Amino acid sequence: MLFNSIDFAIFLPIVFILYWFVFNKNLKIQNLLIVAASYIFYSFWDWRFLSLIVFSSIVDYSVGRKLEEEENQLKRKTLLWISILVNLVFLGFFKYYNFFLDNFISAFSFFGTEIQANSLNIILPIGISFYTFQTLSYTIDVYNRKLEPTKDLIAFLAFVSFFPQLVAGPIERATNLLPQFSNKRIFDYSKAVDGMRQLLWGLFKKVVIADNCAEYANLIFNNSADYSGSTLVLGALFFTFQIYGDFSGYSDIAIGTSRLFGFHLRRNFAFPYFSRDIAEFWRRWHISLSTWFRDYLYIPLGGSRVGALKKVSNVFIIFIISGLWHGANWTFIIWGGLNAVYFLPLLLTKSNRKHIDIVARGKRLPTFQEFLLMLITFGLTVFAWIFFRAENIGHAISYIEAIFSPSLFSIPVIISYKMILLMVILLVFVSIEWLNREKEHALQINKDCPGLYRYMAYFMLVASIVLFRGSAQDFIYFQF
Amino acid sequence: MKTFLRKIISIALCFFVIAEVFSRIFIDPVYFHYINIYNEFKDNSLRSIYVDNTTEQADFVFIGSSRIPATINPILFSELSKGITINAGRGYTTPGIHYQAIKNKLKYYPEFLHNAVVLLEYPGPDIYTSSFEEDILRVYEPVIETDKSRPHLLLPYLDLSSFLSFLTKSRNGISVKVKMTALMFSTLRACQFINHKFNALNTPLFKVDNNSKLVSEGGIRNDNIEFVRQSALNVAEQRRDEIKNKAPLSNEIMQNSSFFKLYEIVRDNGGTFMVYKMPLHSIQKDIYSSAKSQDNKLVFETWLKEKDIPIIYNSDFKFTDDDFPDFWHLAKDRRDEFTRTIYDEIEKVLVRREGCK
Repeated sequence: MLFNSIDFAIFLPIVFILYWFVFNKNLKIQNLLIVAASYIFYSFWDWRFLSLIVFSSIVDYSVGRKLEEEENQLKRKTLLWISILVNLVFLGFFKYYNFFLDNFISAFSFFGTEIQANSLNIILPIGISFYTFQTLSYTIDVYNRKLEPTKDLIAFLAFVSFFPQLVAGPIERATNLLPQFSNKRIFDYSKAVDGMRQLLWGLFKKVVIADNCAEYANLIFNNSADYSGSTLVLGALFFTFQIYGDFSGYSDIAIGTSRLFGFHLRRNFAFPYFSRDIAEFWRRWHISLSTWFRDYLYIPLGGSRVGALKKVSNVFIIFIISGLWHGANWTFIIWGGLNAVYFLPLLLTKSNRKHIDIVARGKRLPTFQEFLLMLITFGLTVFAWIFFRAENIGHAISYIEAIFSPSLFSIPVIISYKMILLMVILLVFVSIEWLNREKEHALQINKDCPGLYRYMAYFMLVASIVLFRGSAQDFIYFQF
Repeated sequence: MKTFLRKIISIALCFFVIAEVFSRIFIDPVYFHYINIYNEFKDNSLRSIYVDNTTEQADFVFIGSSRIPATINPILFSELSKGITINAGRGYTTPGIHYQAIKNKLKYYPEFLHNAVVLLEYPGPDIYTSSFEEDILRVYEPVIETDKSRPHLLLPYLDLSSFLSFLTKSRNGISVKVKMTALMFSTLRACQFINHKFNALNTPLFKVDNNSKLVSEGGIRNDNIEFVRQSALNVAEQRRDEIKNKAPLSNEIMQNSSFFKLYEIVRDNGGTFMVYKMPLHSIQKDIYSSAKSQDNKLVFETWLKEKDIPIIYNSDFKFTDDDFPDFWHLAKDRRDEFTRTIYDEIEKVLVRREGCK
């Protein structure tokens, strides 16, 4: 079920009313309702793949219970590996089987050996990368004794399948989300209102920003050979905003929806395009994934407390795996590698934690230096997104070659009036985000804000969503 | 929690009321209240499609799909016949729309069909032969998604009782019924219209190309010919299957058909009903090549004869597949010739009938 669909507009109030008015007396039944609602939510895509979620949940629940009882370190390690393998086998089969097979065949044919193997017609279950990582975090935390395993199967099933973040995150940690299923939720008016605002803002980002930008990004990327360098730059910019609006919009809707049900999900985006360097960008973009890799891969590998060479290899491992997590394609691997190249100089010069706070805190405008740093970081990010969006490496290279041609200095092809209008909308959007960058989300309104302004903001947002929505597109991150 | 719900509902209601009032006051209601296909239109601009109805009495009314504007030039026909010619052919229209439109028109202009000749296109014996109950209140679902500037083709013609019948009897799904109910409010129609215009700033739905070999009226698309050709192939395949799976045509089926209802309403209001053979591309013609279709044709034409409904054959009009650039519609440069041919044949039929009387 898509957040931007009529189905969800009907589904959400029904679940909300059942949750707070019918099943509010009993925590277990409330959790059961969440499980049922989540499975229904997922079934709208394909009910058959629910079995994967259920199986994965039961394996990790059982492993967690066993880990609690087991004292023998070797057996504990074996249990941990069972969980990791089961999850990664599913993920590997559904997501990477064809990719590795094709590359394996290509590698052998490069050395003159022909191998006959047929790739399979595999459907990628949506959300598999997200819930796999979420449930893995549980087993690893239990193994490391950072978390008491739950005895409540229903709560665990609800934790794995919690519908607001089931298919595209944020990837929640068991330490944060699981205990919330064991505690009685109390309706908090101000949090619910803030949740609604975040939901509304997320919907605006998805439906107005991402869907409209997608139209041009798709047009330009799919016909890149026909356009001038300057138009291709526009295409990359449109994709930059598309992916941000799409993914952060989804996260906002997920976090806002969770708040309506009394849950607190962690922040996933913190105005990443206002970053002054790539390290800051990665602290602000898809935070739940970056921190997952940091905690469960980078630190166990030794992190930055190792020699320079190992440090470099660790950074490359993290970024390349992060790229591969996004999809089974060399373009994602290059995208990850490119970000590692951006990041390394900062790490090696120990300036990767130079910009921790939000830019120009307390000020209306940034300094010229801050502006320049933001612009450079944004430019590097846009460049990397070309690899992310391209169909294959060849496409990305030809796209970049065409950008750096004399036509870069030509007037971009303005495709339509709508494109100009969209640019104005983007300018307004960036301004709103800039003015609210110190908040959790751009529509977090202060209590002292006059009611008239608040309601005008709501009305304008709803009107924009209804009137300026683009042609509906799937959420990009569903494919990851 | 109750305060929260109350506020959400109040905000939603406020938004709705403001939008409803705003759209009714500031947006030309002509765009939203009804589509008057029963008024002659020359081009495909929205204004001309949505214009107010002014024709009190017609002499010739052509009913059917978008193939009608491709074959009939109403201005030329009016000149030839010295009578008022209404070209009511339009893509996506169903028997329901035509029936309701005529009914609606007669309510305000009871003389509209008096002495008029009403001509329905006759591509094959499956035209409007589904049962009245089944077809008359059915919304052609793809139109809701594909033609967002006119999301409510059937709706404007329904009075309250017909609308209730639509809700209870139509074979459309619940989601369509919910959508049609919602479309009763100006808000949704206005929002849909503005959003359509916003997106059309990019790619106009019907790009009028003066150099096109296709007529740009009645919803004929001339912006993506490959797409239209493919859809012609798909629809032909679908039609063939439908004919194969349906019960063979019989007099009983014809008596309960939408066709009969149209004939009846024309006859009862003083008009003459005729059908005219539509020139077809071979893809469309092949739909009716099966033995079952030939049997259906025999039943259909015998039934027409019994009802004294003449068939205009246009046999003097020669054409090849090249005359159908999109596999659907007759090319623009053959339209006037066809108009003259059909006019001559209609005149002959009318003279013959007059002579008989």
